[in-house]
This record gives sequence, structure tokens and C-alpha cells, in this order.
Amino acid sequence: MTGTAAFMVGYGIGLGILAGYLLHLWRSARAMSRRERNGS
Amino acid sequence: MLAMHGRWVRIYWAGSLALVPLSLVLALWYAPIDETMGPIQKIVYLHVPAAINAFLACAVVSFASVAYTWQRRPEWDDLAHAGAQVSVVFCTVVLLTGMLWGRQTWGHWWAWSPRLTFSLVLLLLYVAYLLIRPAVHSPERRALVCAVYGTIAFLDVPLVYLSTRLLPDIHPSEMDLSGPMQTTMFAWLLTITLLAGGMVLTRFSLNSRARKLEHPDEGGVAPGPHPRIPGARA
Repeated sequence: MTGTAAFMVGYGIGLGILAGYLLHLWRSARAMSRRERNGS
Repeated sequence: MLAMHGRWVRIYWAGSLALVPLSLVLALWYAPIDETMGPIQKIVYLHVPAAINAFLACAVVSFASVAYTWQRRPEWDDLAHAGAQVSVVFCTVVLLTGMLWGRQTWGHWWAWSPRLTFSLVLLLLYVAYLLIRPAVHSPERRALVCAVYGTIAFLDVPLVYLSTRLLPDIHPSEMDLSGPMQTTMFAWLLTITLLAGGMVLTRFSLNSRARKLEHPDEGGVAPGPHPRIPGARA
């Protein structure tokens, strides 16, 4: 793997993990809003 | 966006997320290629801010843990839990980007050097923190156990930081950046710090809302030291 490919893979993995966690938070927030509306 | 409401929160998230492509442009095209390390050096713009924010998230866990031990308010436990999740996320980013850098620079993915070993221990400590939580059923006992654990776990952070300064280590202890490289590093530090702060606050808000849904009678006030057991005498 060349240096350019390695650093692009690194950014892909790093930002992918952060995006995945943000998506998880967003879905949790939506589920929480539904629970609060239903009162359970 | 996410758990917190209000126009300012949406502006915060929109601004933070908009900084990501701008920072990427800086890293890809504005920052020059390092003469000695080559293109792989550019991974430090993500690696270093992620490490700093992993430390900050660990500090949040430690601060909230001490505060819970002092005041016994469940909000501090919510905050410590949020910090632990975010620290695991950022420690994972740090280790994976560091391994890619090591493969290109040292020729191998991993070395059991003090910095790398203490960093791996840091990740495992906070993964263990998250695994301990569901294992303790009483909310008060869980919060106290995690507060003690969260306070002690932070002791690994200074070990990670000082390891390259006090011990012989393959990992570089400091990096001399100037001009466009320094500007790019500051841009990434701002972006990642804003994202990390938003993540902690959102997770904290979700934890608090979940607790209030499960215990609506407590209204956010810490329950007594001895939880009521259904059917037991008062």
C-alpha cells in the first residue's frame, strides 16, 4: 500500500467510525423521542 | 439534530459537520507532503486531534465520577457514561490511524512500546467501563461502582502522555509543524473537538432522558442510598 493510499484509508476508517457513532446517536435520539411521545 | 433541541443546537451541528469537508480539503490539497515521511504524514491531522479528544473525554469521565462520588446526583453518572462512550470511539480512531501510520513508517502494524501499550490499555479500560455498567442492576450501586472505576481509570491518561517523554519509545514525542501544516492541524483540532463536544452532550442528554423515562417519580433527584425493594418492609 502506498503512502497516499494508506493515509486515505486512515481517513476513511477514522471518519467512518465517527460517522457511524453520529448515526447511532441520531437513531437513539429518534427512538427516545418516540418513547417520550408514547410515555414509556 | 440528535437529542438536544433548539435552533442553536442545529446550528452547532451544521457548523461542526460543515467543517469536516473543509478540513479534508486542507489536509488533501493545502498541507504540503512531508519530505521525510511522505503522504502518510497527513494522517496526523486526524490522529493527533482524536488523541487529544480521547484524553478530554477520559477527563470528563473522571471529573463526573468524582462529582458523583461527592454529590450522588445521577446527572453526573449520565455524563460519565457519555464521556466513556466517546472516549472509546476516539481511542479506536487513534489506534487504527496510528497502526496505519506505523505500517508505513516503521514497517509493522504494532510495537509493544510504552506509548502504544498504554494507549491500548486506555481503550480496554473504557471498554471495560461500558461492560461493567449493565452487569450491576441497582442504579445507585452501578453509578457508584462506575464512579470509583472511572476515577481510577483516568490514571492511565498521564501514563500515555508522559510515556514518550520519560521512557525510550519508537513513537515520536513531539512534532514540529509550521505554516500550512500548522493551519491544517488547528482546523482538524477545531473540527474534531466540536464533534467530540457535541457527541458527549448529545449522549449525556439521551442518558438523562432515558433515566427520567424509567424513573419518572425521581424527577432527576438522586434516590436514597438504599433502593426500595418491592414487597420488603420499609
